[in-house]
Amino acid sequence: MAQKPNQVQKVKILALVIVVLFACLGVRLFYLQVINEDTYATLSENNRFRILSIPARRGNIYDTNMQELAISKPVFSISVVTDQIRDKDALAIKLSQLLSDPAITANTILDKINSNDRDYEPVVIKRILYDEGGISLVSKLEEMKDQLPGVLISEEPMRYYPNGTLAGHLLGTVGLISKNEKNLIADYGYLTNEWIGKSGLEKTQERVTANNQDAGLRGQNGMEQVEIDAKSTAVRTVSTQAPVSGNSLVLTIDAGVQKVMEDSMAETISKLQERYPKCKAGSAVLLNVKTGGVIAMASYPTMDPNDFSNGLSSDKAAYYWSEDLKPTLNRAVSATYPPGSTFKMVTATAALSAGVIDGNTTVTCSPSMWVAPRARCPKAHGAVNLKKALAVSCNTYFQEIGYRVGNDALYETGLKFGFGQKTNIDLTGEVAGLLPSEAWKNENFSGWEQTWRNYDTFYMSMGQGYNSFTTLQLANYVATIANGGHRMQPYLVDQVVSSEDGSLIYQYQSKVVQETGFSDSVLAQVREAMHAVAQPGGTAYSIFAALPVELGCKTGTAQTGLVGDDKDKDYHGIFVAFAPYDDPQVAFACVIEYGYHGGSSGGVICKSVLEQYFGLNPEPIPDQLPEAQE
Amino acid sequence: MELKRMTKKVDWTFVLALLVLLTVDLIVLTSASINVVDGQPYYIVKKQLLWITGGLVLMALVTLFWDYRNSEKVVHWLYLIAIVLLIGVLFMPEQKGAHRWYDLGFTDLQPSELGKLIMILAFAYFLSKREKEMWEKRTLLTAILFMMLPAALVFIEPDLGTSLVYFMIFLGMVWVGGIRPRVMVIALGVIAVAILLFFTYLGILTDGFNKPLPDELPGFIPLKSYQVTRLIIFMNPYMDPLNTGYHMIQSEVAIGSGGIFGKGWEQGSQVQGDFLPEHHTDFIFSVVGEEFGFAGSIALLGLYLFILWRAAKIAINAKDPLGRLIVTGVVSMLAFQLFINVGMTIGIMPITGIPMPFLSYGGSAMMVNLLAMGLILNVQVRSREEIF
Repeated sequence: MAQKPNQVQKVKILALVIVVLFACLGVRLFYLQVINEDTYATLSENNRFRILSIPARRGNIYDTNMQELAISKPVFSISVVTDQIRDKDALAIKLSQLLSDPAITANTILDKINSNDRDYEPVVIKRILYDEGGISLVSKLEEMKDQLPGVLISEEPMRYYPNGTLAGHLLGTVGLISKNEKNLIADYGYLTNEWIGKSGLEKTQERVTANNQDAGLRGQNGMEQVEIDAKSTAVRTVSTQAPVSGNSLVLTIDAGVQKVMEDSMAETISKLQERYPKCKAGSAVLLNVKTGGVIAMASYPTMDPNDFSNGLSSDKAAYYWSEDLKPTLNRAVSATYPPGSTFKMVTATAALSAGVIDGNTTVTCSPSMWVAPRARCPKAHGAVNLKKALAVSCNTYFQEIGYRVGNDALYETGLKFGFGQKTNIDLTGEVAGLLPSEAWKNENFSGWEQTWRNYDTFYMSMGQGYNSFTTLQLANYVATIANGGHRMQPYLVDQVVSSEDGSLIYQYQSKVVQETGFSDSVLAQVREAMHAVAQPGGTAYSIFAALPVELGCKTGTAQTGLVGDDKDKDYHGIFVAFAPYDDPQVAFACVIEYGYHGGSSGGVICKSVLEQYFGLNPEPIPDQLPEAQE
Repeated sequence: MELKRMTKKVDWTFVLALLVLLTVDLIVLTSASINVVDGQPYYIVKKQLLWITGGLVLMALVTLFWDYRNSEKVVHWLYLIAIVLLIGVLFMPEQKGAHRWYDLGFTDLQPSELGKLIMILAFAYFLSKREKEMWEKRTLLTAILFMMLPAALVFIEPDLGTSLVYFMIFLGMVWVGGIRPRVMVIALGVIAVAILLFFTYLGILTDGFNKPLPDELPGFIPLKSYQVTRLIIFMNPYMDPLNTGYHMIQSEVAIGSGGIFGKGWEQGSQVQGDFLPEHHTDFIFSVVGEEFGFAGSIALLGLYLFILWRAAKIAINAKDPLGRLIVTGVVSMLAFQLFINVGMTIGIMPITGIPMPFLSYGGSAMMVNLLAMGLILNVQVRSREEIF
């Protein structure tokens, strides 16, 4: 019995140890729940709530008559949250079966999942319009939700271009923000999954301010605070901040004229192809000469921006990224061409302004004048004054007067007309082209070529040589001749309108970039000479004979100057015009690559465009294009 | 006659406290398991109710219809059977990375669970017979072998948590069983130093508990990397915040955010939003902390402490050393499991996979624990004195 009290004591000690251990638990609980309650409450709230972004609707783009060119349509966005997937392969197979879209295979889904470097951000697999099978697809996916862990379905606005290719190049494209645009996320608060303007107006008008207000297409994303569970499923919405839609643009573009320009260009090119297989591309511009507003601007081959709004499919990518045709290039501002004979009005303006000729000065075009380095004419024109020389596009005449006035004056005059300088229109990818000068030649060549030579002046006088301009520059040059010497700023966005309340945020005021200072009489003589081009005996008479509107114009046929082209066969067809002759409203320029003749390519397009613009009964483009004489 | 006397003698306060605890379990588990089985919010709690009912019947039967005093032969056979089962289970196919269960088709049998009670009984017989000779070295070594054999078998399953429970039962019983206090203090000191060295070494290996352990550990550590991580994660759960540390972080957040009075029943966002894993099993105490706050947690721990205190009194008043040792074993088992489980949820103990007695969902644990209560009451109704 001696052991017994000892055992009892030991049980008591054991009980004491247990009490001490429980006290430790109590102290720790006090520390967590009383002292640090706030810290843990915050952590718990962070778990529980998540901020979701509500993408803002992008502003619409309208033509000058408020016809929709770009809008946003609601779509279902089917995406995958990669960090919630255990078996990626199984999910990719299952999802591809359900989507039953030949462009989205299990492998494409896997690629998208694996290339996502931000696990917590959903990867968009497919976006589908409500009315193009979206509703039935989504209800099918919702039914199978349990078998599709990590698949999210959300609704968001998607960019949609109701007219397809119409004005595709100038409207531009949107796409998901890319890796090298990530700085925008920090600078402007973009979401990592946001759709952003990639080219054309979509890009240049993405974020602009006017009158200290936001005047861009991009809206302000909204936010939604939701309560979620550990599987990130939203249980309840706590608070919402509505998104603000982006602003809408009203363009100077007239969709009707634009359509005629594009259609007639496509038709003309396809007809020219029969004779000139290399003829596959071109561009044209119609400007309002009084304001500088672009009424139509087309580039061929065409581009449908809708193809980019959902990610390019592989066959479409092959088309758009073909090195040969470059359909994404807006040739009206991003490609340059030798102007050929359309440059002759520069030579005339320079010579008239300098007083080295007047309207009556004649030059005799005969083989005796065709001594190298002077170029010859197809035939001897005899004694020609300015009007006659331009009408028949006499090389001899313009080489002579160009030589008389000198290359410096030609350069200065070309500069005033805007050649060799960007117009700074609201588009992406504009290039400056090249207006050569003595200084330029000196800098860029060596040896014999370094010095400006007489033949350089002769070439320049008739638009060959190093001259290389954009179609827009050509149009603006003609507009400047037509409006009395005011070189206007070409523009596309006439108004910015709030999508929220329809109020006018911004109204464009036309701007003169440069007063050229050419006298009215000089320009009147140039216009008169251009008028003669479309008159009997002029190179474009046959094309415009039936057009009730009087116009001034000039055809051009320019050696491409490209390696591999045949100097005697491969010519670009160039055509410029303004109309009506007595009170000019619009200026036109067109370049058809390998179109051979300006008149029978661009001239035909010009006629269709003017018919549409002036509301005349259009004549069909003849199957046999008129033979131009040049 | 005898039965009637015993029924009258039952410590009804103890039983009542236990019933209150089981009621609390049903209330907490209802909230904790509402989102566990899709479409059947009360599936888990209904099953638990079934286990509780069965367990209580078993407890009553063990209390009244069996006598701890004349079962030595049976207990010896049970000890042998338990050892055989613990060896046999090692050859069973692996489930969840361990060889712990016999697949009986309709249910899984975990021999180490029931084994705890068998070891308590067997060791109590072993010690009660050696009251006087206990303190010879040879006796002590035999005692160690007697208990450490099953503990080692459980350890290699592997089931570190349960083998630690065996060890704690051993410590508690050998202490009351008569080991010299000096020997005990030295042994505990050696264990403490060993633990300290182990943690110091791992602290160096993990850059001061700031980065995860390497996948390959040095050969002298008989554990896998993930097992060791579970042992040291409480030093800094952010050393592996997305895997092993995740449970502990979410548990601390749940308990801490409960504050003084809690978020209310079925209102805990950590539990209901499923941020807290295992919230109806190992981490059920976090649900108490989140939904009932500091007040509720302390009250619950108080209830456990009351039951243990009551059990300690039964041990003290036991008729013989055998009964006292049985109760001591059960008390050691429960107290240790409670401390290690609650300590885990509040970030001061390793993650060992030990459920919270009477609170965590689980049939076999509930049955074994109520059976253990039956052992205590068995001793109590046969005790020398009236309690009051």
